[in-house]
Formats: sequence, C-alpha cells, structure tokens
Amino acid sequence: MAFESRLTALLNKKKWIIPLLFAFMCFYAVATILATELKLAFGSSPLDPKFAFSIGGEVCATIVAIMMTISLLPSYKRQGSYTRIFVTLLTAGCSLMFFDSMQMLIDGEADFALMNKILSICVFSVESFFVFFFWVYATYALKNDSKTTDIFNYVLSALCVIFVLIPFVNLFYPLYFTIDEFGIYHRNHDTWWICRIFMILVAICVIISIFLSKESRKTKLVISVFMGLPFAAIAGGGFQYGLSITYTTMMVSLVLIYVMQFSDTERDLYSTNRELGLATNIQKNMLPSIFPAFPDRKEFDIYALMSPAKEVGGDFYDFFLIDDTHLGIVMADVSDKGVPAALFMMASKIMIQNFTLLGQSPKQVLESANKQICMNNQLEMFVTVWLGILDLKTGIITATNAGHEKPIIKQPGKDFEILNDKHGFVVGGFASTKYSEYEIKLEKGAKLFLYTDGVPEATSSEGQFGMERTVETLNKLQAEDPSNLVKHMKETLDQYVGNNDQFDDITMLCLEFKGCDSDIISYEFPAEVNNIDAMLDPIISTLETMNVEHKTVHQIHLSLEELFANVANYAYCPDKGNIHIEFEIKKDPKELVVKIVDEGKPFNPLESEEPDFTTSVQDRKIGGLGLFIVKKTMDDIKYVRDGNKNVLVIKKKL
Amino acid sequence: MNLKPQKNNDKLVLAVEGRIDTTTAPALTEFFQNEMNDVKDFELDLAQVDYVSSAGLRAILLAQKIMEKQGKMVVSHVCKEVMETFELTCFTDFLTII
Repeated sequence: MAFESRLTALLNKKKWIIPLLFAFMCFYAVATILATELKLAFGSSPLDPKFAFSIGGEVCATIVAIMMTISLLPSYKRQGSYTRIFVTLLTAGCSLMFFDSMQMLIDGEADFALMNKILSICVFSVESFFVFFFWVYATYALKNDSKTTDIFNYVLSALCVIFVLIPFVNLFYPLYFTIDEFGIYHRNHDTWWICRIFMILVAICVIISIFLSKESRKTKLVISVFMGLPFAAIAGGGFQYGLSITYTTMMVSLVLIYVMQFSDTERDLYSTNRELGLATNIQKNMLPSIFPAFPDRKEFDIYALMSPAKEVGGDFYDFFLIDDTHLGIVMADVSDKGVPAALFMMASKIMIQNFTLLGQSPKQVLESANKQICMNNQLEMFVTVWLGILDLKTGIITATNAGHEKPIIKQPGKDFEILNDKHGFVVGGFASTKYSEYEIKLEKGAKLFLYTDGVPEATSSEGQFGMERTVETLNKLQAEDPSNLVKHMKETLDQYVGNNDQFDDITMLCLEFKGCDSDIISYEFPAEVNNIDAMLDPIISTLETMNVEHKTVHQIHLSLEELFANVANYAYCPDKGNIHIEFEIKKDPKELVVKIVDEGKPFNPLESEEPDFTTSVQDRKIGGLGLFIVKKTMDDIKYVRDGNKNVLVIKKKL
Repeated sequence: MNLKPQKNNDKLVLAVEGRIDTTTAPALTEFFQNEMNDVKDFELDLAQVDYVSSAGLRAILLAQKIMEKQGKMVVSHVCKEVMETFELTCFTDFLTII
C-alpha cells in the first residue's frame, strides 16, 4: 500500500483528526501574531518590512484557512474524504507558513541561531510534505485510478520521504542555507535549487494526471489554472529573498480550487432540493387545499391541514362529494416518510377516492384498495386509513378504520370525546384482510376531528403531546369553526414543540356538520285517484305559504297530479298498493324536490312516447299528454328502478 | 266540478264550474260521449275553470273529435292558467278559443 493511501485511510478512520488539525491552525495563527509582537517589543534588530509584509500575508492566509475549515463542517458527512484531505492540505499549508513566519521573526537574533536553523529546516521539510499532499488532493479531485497514477503515487511517496529528510542534512552541511554569527539566514545559492526538484516533479505529475483524467473539463481547468498561480509566485519569489508570498499564494489558490469544486456540488444539491420542492408542491396540490372547500354547501364546513416533517410527507387527508348528499372523508398515514412514502400516498389516495366515487361503502373501498395495494407492494409499505362517508341529509357517517388513530367527536352540548371505534388491520398488509364498518350519527352542530399520530406524538423536552392534551386543547377550542380550530391546534402544537425538530408529519382535519338546510316531509297514501288531492295538498299549501309565483304552483300542481294519477291508475293495477311521497324545499337556490316512490310494475315515465302534435285531431292519441306536461314544465326528472321500487325524483326551481 | 249545460235546438253551451282533473274529468268525458248526439254548435264555457289537468285535456280532445264530425266547437272564457296548459300541449292549434 502506498504511503498516500495509508494517509487517506488514516484520515477517514480517525474522528479526532479534523479537530486536531483545526486546533493546529488556530495555534499557528495565534502563535505567529504573539511572536510578531514579542519581536517588535524585545527584538534586538528591527523587523525587515519585507518580512513584515510576508508575515502579514501568511497570518491572513491562515485565518482564511481556519474560516474555510469551519465553513466546511456541514459537508464532512456529505463529501467525506474529499473534505478531510482538503483540510489536511490546508493544515500542511498553515504549518508551512507558520514555520516560515517564525523563521523570519527570529532571523537576525544572534541568540537564537540554532532555533533559526531548526525552523529553516522545518520550512523546507514541511514544504515537501505540503507539495506531496497537493498531489494527493489533485489525484482525488481528478478521480484518477489508472496504473500511471499508481506509479506516480509510489514514486512521489518515496520521493516525499526523501525530500522531507534532505533538509536535515543542513544540520551538518550547509546544503540549502547557512546561518551566520549574527543569526542571519543566507541561502546557499549553489545547492539551494535542490529543494525545488520535488516541487517540479509533482507539478509534472499533476499535469500528466490532468491529461489522463476523465473528469469534466472544468475540474481539469480549475486545478491547472490554480496550480499555475503558486508556481508563478515561486518563480517570482526566487528573485527577492525575504519577500515570501509563495506560500500565501498557494493557500489562496487552494481555497479557490475548493470553492470552484464545491460550487458544482452545491449546484447538484440545489437541483435535488428544487425537485424535492416540486414534489412537495405536487403532493400539496393533490390534497384539496382551497378553503372554504364548498362555499355553496351550507350543510357542513370542513378544514384540513398537512404539515410534512420532511420535504415530502406520507400523511394525507382527502374529502370529496360522492353525489349531492354524500361526502367522502379520508385521513391516512403511510408507514414511511420522504419520497417513497409520498409516491405510495399518491397511489393510495387515488385508489381510495376512485373506489369511493364508484359508490362502494367504506368497508368495500378499503378491501378493494387493500387488494390492489397488496398485489404490487414490494417495499412492504402500508397505510393506516380512516374512511367515512357522511350522509349530508341525516348526519350519519358510515366509517371504516384501518389501523388509524381514533376520531375525536364533539356532539352539540357535549365535549370532544374519543370515539372508541373498531380497528381493522392496516391497508397494504395482507390481501385477504376484511374490514368492518360502523355508523355514527352527527347531530346538527357536531364536530369531527381527524388527525394522524403526528399530533399526539409531537414531542418537546417534556415528552409527547399525548391524547389527553389533544382532547383538552380541542375542548378549549370547541367554539371555533373548523378552520380556526385546526389552525389554533397547530399553533398549540408548534408552541409545545418549541425549537425541537418536527419529526413526524402533522395532519389534521375538522368537519362541522351543520345539518340539512331544508326539512324533508314524507307521507304515504293508498295509491288511489280519490287520494290525489290529499297527496297534493301538503306540497301545494307549503308552496302557497311561501308566496311562490302562481304560474309555478300551477305547473307543479299539473305535473304532480299527473304523476300521482299515473301511479294510482297503472302502477298496481289490478292490485292495490301505496304511494310514498317525500318533498323538501331547498333554500339555496330555492327549489322544490319531490320524490315519488311506488312498489308497482316497473314503469319509466321518461321513456313514454311524446305525443305527436302534427297529426290531425281525429288521429291524435289521447295518451302521453300528462307526462309531456311534466317534462315540459319541471326542471329535472330522474327515474330509477330501485329493487322492486319505482323512484321518481322531480325538481322545480321556485 | 259541476256541469251546467244549456241547450237551444242544436246549440249547446256547457258551462263547467270547478277543476277538471283526474277525478272529475271522467264525468266530463261521460257527458261528451252521451249528451252530444244532435249538437251542431257547441260552446265549452271555461269561465269558472281555473285548472285543467291532462285528463281534462283528453276529455276536451274527445269533444273536439266528436264536434269535427258533426258541426263546430268553440271554447270560451279561458283563464290564464288553463291557456298556458293549452299552449304547452299545442291544444291551441286546433281549439277555437274565443
């Protein structure tokens, strides 16, 4: 194993390395500044302005390196060894600048000649190590693992050891420099260049690597451009001993390389975040989120809210009108979170809604959905669902609970109470799961609160929010309308959780049942012609007390008499039977709805032949006129054969 | 419903009082079937009628059929509501309404 790979392995393994390196850098900065002050205060010779300039630059570069290390803290996990190598490189650079600065400060102090010697050796030694580490970093950035790179690695690792040791020759023989009796450093111009050999070798290797690399052109460009910078500085520094900007330039170029590289990664991260954001939006838009949701429906008020813990959540709520008088309500929680849960949630939501709209009961819907989900559930995800269908006329909810949290219900004049409903198994568990359904009647003014486990399990330092507190809070808010109730509940939860992270999706739904705004009157008569007036009377007198336009009443009278007469004359002939009549006056918009039910022979009046008005009077048939009048004057007629019943519903705007 | 016929040779004026609906129309039909034998000029006076159901319409249609064979028929004093029913069912096409 090459020296290089041992080094990276060590860096990745030991957790304390980064803090240690960071501590070193801080020490360098502080020590250099203190040493400069000592030199200025007690130094025997004045500080050369060239030295002062260089030291200033080096201290600044060290501080930049420290700041860089701090700013990289969040990316250690994400970027892994790349960041670790980079921080090590920064520390090596800082060490180099530290020794360089110290050497410059001590230069000319006769008493510290030996110290000067040692520091100078350190500078040369660390310089080689730093240069070698730049190679390591470049290889890593270029993602080279060709054989050539391996060979370079071995050669440079070996040379690195040699060149780190060579400066120590200076202890016995003035290879690179001499220190005179005044403690002043002198370069040995004959052999000084040896220290540059390694640097040039590394540069050549890096350049070859750049050519070999399959990385993007940009990465190559970045590394080559910024490698050029310190070499230019070295070239410049060679002319003027003392003006040592080389190391500073190296450091700055390093920081620049990293920033350029890092901006790429950040851009990738940004696009991922953006896509997640889009997913969140799509998910949010999947849920009905425009409130008031049914501004023209006075029978109920509904409000719901979902606040995902991650970008996309696994909770969902849903509500939709199945027909004019039935509202489907769903509250569900997918077993997982994040993108997979969101996808699963979408599929579940659509399935549940579609099966419900097909007219299935909650029990049937969940059984159908469960079967479908189980068929292709490789991730073994599941979803807990509470599904209810509210009859808006009667307030009766037919519901099925598939492993979901118990609904909390407040009947008028009472407090919110947890409904201990029967739980079935979760949806997506076993294909054969059977569900049961139950009915609960909401009185006028009753409120239904549905939620996911994110509510009682909202956690602060005091523990979980809990069911008790949930019910307590609901009771404090019981006078509020659904929208305010849910919003205040969320605020209470937010306050409770405080600065802790929300770890689960929080979803809440509140429905207030206000009751039907019109009352249905129903009655029954034997289907006989003599009873027609009695059948008509309740309806006609109601209309008359309402001051409905005379013409309209007349039309209604004509039509209803016709329909009643039809039933009386034909439905049961020759047997006898009853006619059941239901009517209601809807208020918004004003409309009369009459339902006529008989158990006679199947007869669809809508299919009756229209009278032919073109024939001569003699050929004109006498049938069909009545139904023609009904069709002409009423706004809507619907016929259903329901079992053994003829059901006819007519509507007329008032 | 009351029927008040006034016969003068072959002219008959039948004043109807009340509603002509499912229950009462059969009486009218019966009248037309039995009492129109030698009538050549027939006037159906609906001044006291504010309601004619489809059963009533059928009776009136019957009268029209009979009278087309043996003379003429007019309908008089038709109120607004009944007129609407006549219009709706195109009875205005063949009835002579004065």
